[in-house]
Amino acid sequence: MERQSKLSSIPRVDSFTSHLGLVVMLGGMAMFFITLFVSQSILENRFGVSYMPGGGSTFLFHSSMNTVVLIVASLLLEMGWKKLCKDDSNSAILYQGSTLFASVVFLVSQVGLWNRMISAGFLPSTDLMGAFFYAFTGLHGLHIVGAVGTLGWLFWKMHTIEESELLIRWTVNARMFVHFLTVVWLFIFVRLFVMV
Amino acid sequence: MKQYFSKINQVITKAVWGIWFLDPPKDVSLDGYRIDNTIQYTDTVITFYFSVVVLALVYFVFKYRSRPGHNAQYDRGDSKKNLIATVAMGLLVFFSIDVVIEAMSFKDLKEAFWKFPKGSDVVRIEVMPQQYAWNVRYPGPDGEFATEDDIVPPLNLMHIPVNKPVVIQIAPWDVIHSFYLPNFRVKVDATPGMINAMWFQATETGEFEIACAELCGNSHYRMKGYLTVESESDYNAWLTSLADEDDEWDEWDEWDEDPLEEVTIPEDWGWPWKEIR
Amino acid sequence: MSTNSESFLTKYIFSTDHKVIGKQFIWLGIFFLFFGGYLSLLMRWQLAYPEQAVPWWLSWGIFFKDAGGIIDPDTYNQLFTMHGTIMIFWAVTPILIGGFGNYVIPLQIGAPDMAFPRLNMISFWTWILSSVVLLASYLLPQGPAAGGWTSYPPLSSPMGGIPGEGQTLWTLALVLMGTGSIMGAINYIITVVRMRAPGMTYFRMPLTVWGLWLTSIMNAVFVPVIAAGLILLLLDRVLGTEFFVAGGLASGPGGDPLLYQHVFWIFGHPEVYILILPVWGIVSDLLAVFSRKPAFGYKVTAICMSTICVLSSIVWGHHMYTTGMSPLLGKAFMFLTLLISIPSSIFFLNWLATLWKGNLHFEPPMIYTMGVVWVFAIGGLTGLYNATVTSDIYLHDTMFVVGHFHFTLAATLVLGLFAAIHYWFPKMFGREINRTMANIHFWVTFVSMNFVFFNMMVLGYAGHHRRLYNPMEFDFLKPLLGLNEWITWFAIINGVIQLLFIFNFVWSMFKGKVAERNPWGASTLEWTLDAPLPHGNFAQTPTVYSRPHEYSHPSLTDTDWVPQSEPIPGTA
Repeated sequence: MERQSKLSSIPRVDSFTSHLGLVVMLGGMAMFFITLFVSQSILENRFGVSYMPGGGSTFLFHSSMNTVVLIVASLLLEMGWKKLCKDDSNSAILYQGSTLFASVVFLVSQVGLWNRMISAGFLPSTDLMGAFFYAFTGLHGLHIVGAVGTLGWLFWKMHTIEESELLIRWTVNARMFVHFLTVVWLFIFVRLFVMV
Repeated sequence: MKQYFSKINQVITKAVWGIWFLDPPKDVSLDGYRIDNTIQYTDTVITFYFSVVVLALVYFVFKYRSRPGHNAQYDRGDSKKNLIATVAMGLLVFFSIDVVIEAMSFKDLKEAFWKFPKGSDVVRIEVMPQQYAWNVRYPGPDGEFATEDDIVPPLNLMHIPVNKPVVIQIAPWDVIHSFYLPNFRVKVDATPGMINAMWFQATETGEFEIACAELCGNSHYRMKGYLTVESESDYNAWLTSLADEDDEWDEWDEWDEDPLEEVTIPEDWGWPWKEIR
Repeated sequence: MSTNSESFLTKYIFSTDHKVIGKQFIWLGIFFLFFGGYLSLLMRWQLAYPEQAVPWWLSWGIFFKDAGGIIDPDTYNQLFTMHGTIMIFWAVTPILIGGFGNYVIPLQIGAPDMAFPRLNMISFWTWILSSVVLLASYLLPQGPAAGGWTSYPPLSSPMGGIPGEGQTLWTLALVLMGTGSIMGAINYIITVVRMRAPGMTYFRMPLTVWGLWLTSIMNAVFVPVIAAGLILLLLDRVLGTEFFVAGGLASGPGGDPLLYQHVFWIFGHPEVYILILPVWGIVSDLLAVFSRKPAFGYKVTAICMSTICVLSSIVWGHHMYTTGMSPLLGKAFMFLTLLISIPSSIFFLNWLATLWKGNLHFEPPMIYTMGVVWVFAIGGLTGLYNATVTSDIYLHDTMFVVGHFHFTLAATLVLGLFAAIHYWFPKMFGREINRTMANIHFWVTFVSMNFVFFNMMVLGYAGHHRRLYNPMEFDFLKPLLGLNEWITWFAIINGVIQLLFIFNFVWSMFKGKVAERNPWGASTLEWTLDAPLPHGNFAQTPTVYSRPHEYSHPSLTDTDWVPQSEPIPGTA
């Protein structure tokens, strides 16, 4: 196919190298998150955690649901990868599509959560808690948007490309990225919603 | 002994760097000489080592320049002997400069800069820099800050008695500033949300300048204060005269521009004195 | 690799070839080097002739027309802010790390290209995007950022008093640039780890690669830290948060300006080592090439460079001695900072030992390299004043610090990048750079840089503090006007002579003598290829037999070198 030959004119490294690159990227992202997390801990320690409006319960439910959706997305992606390894690309496509769908649901629901927060008068400029809330959820959401884009691209590739080795490599990379974001979200969730 | 040490250093440094060497502003503080000494010692040793490097370079350039019949001597430099030699020389540099200045610094910090004076003799002043002036506050006759009888002189003026320790607590109104006394070799940052402390003691009377040493905006360059060091009786008289007057701004005529019309610092800007351990 | 489907766009603009991208970065960097240099000359004019009109040959009849040619305090603050920011992130980083990193790493390790060529291309264009955002701030009515390259809040927050949105664009540009940096770092790290040719063990890599690789590791670890800090600052500017605002300007508790300083310097100190590591590597290699003997103590130098990387991450507090940190912390930072002297002295001695008993050829790359040795000695030694808490109390935020870091950054890095340019020019462009012009350029640059930066230290010792629009406001600074004037004129001379360099660079590119394959007799792998270098670099992956600087090996009879891809006669 035309597209394929254009792709392969740029030499590709082996899978391990590709995964190593992603690991380094995740390492950098981890440093980014750690800086924010530690900053928040330091400031919250000094100035005290403020009260989230409307009480913890309503928002806790909403955010817990979002957390579950994200965990499900990760699980679906994991299952999809397993199917792909067994060469069952049809099931794999199904699972990956579901992951994509779940991630979008997560995003939409997060935006919904923001809406509710804003209506409750809880803004970034309200106080320190508000500032970190929107900072963490916003930055995480931006990265999820990147993940959605990646999953969408991967979904399309699954339909157009035959080389299973490439597909497996890309899926592994996407999988590491999405799982990383899920784990980061767990930290954020516990910190922002549970430990208030 | 200390004075000789300092003199020798000065002579050597001036001799090497010559006319370029400009003296720092006159030191009228009790402990400023410690910093001057540390700097001068560093000057001397650095000059020595740099000269060695320069001589080596010049020698190499001439002795080893490429010319017919001259060859390089192959040496990877990875023998044990080489390693020991380089590490030894590295450690020599470390011990002759780093360890010495570190020891000097530790000692000076312990004996002087971090050893805040205590007792009733100490003059306590609160300073609050703002964009672009220095607010100063004295505790007044009751000896407590943030009380009715605090004395606030006109903007940018500060008086201290000579030969008495002065402790400054500093917190800014708006952005980060830095209280810099060139003639006393002291500098302390004023960071919003923090109260920092610093102490010094004047050994001579005179008028000296206060400068801001942290970028604070477009008039950072002329955020100037005036420190007057005077005898204790003059100092007390000045304080008394201020306590009797209202705050007057027209006494200050060197500030030739409308200061701070928009920014109103509340009258009671002081804080209770923070205990220093 | 076949290039049958390459258009002009994919060959020159959106190229994924590391050599092309390397050259693109170098052009970007050279543009900003001149831009940032020009800003410094405007600053120097104001310092030497306060509130006097900038002369026509400096303002070009375009700038400051409204003010009658006089720079005002707001503009002056913008000048030093943008000068620092541009020189560090948009001039030196693209040339040394983006440019030479890209060009040299795959060639020197025997790889066909970088591990992730498309990521490479995206990294360059991210940099272009960040440049556009940065330069766009000049089009704003209130001008670009004016909070210093360190941009401390609350001054850099919306309540700090800096007019306009230049500060916001500045923060955004830095975040974008940081993203490009991280992309490049990932690429370099993985390329070195995974794509070395057979026989190219870690301790057979040229020290240039060591320097660039260590730089990339530090970039990958620390740029995300500053990105986090800058994003919080950006949120402060844009969303009304108050992460870093406290005191009278804050609407409530919760912010801490000191947190920003910590985050900034946790990145900021490793950053200066990030900038200098490539030059350390390049100098170590070039000294060997032009002394015709191995880099003395090669392994030890590599280990020292690595040790310094580790140490550099725990010394950031020495930028903050006057902030009122606890005494114990101050002492700890002082001790750790001073420790860095040991590995630094060791590898510096290795440099000198490389020259010792060598066969020194003073080609242009070598004279720049020796210039680096000189200025780095001064820069490194003068760091000691600032490492010590007590002397730093006096010297902090004075021109002394400015002199110190200009010796270690401006002089070392700029002479280093000139050395690199002159050294790899025959490989990059297939021609020789003119030697006479290079010599003149070197000596004038060297002398003027030494004069300018040394005298800044003199000024600082005399008490002259930093970032002053008009030092003459202070009586104790009035005697220093004369020296400021001298510095300005030498800075102007330095600026003018760079025009000779640019002329040499461009002219030699088209009209220079065609270079032979290996004009320097160097043994690293890039010199085994003929210019112009093809895609994929090596027709056949080379096998590496020896260390990178086996010059004047006793087994060599008619020449004093053999490439790394051929075994040394008489050895395995």
